[in-house]
Amino acid sequence: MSTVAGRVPATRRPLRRVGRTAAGWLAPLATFAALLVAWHAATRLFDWPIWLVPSPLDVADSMWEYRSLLPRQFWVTLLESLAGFGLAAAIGIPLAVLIASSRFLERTIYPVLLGLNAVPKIAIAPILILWMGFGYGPKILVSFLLCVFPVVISTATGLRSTAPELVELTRSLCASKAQVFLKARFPAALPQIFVGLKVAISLAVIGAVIGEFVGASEGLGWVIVNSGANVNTSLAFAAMVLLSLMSVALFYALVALERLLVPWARHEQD
Amino acid sequence: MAALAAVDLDVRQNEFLSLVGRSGCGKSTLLRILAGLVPASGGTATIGGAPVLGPRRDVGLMFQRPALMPWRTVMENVLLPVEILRLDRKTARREAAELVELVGLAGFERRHPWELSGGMQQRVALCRALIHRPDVLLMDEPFAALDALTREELSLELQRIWSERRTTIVFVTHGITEAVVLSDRVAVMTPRPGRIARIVSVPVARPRSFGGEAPEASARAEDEVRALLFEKEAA
Repeated sequence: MSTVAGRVPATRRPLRRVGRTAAGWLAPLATFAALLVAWHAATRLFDWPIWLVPSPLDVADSMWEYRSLLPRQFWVTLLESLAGFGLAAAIGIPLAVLIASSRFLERTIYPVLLGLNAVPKIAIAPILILWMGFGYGPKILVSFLLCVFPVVISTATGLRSTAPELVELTRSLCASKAQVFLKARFPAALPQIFVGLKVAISLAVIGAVIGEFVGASEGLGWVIVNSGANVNTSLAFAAMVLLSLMSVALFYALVALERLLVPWARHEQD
Repeated sequence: MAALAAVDLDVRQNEFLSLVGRSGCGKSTLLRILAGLVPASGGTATIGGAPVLGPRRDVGLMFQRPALMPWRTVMENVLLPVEILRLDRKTARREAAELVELVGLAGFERRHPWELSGGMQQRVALCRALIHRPDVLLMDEPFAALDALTREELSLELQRIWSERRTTIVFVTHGITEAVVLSDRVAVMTPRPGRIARIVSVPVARPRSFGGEAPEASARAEDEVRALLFEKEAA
């Protein structure tokens, strides 16, 4: 019996891991706290009026005051963002598969996609509302348009950058094109796909808000527009804080999903 | 310009044949033609009398990099050919367990590639190349990316495994000593365009080893290969 060369790297060191996690959380929390303190100090120091720059405490007050309004608006924007994002994943990934599968399709689809992406979404939003009315439709569509591009690009890149040996190996076993795709190309592209999805999720929220800005009767974007008109600046700030929280939470939900589905991505050697 | 000139090479059944030559002499291209991955621009490659027109079920392949799938465990990686070729899984599982044991990886079946050293990963790749009992094993510098110690260790292990399960092996390498220790015959290739300068036989009994009291026939074969490689370059 032969001996095995090399050591197996230790994969789990619980104590150190906990320590690292705590340090990992502490740093951003401390930064965040420092920013809040600086913001508060600045409002006091320069004595800005509340309608110009509210202090963090004013924003917290606003959040409490509008506690019956904000959760519902949060929910609306969340749903629009998720729908736009889901649509982007459902359409963007298959589209990327088409693009990556043939040079001809790449040349046909890519320029159209690039052109579409170059159009400022804020410019399309009013037209979409003209066509589709004031419901969820235009918001979801703007959200989709804003975030589908990174999904397509990174998925196509991922599908194109399969290690050549992996493709040769599967091909040498008489694998069909479908088998090469399912057994090698697609799983190998998953880490890249997640890169695109993580970029897309923040854009999805922004897209929904753009849609709400242009014409809506609900959602956090609508809250911001409305409170601007009423010079209720602290409410606008409160809505923005909630939007940031939404975006961050969605991002980390994706990170968690990635760790679950693509645990090897963190160990990719080459 | 063609990567290969006319190459006339006849590999015997269950023979261990090495292709040795400098980078760019077409060794790898020749190997890929045999694997059915690249069509030959002229002439024919035949395996067991049948021309190679595309990938074949009876060929095993191994590269310089292990090319394991990181989303699969050791066992799942070894069984990949079984899935693609749609072979009987039950017998294959037993076979895979035997192979994994044979290369000294028993106990690692459920590990993932990233938990293994480079040498261990290459052992897994060897198991994967052998699982469907190919008649021909094509190896493209399989140990070149390993450190010198692991490399010798794995070479000897390949010798042992090959002595237990005979197949025809075509082994591409830069290592002259490695080629002479492992092979029945060494085909020396010269570049631009790639062609086979000469085939050197190594009439030495097995098991062989590195260094120590190398038999005279080995030393002579090694000298001959070296002379062919360097003489052509000087000319």
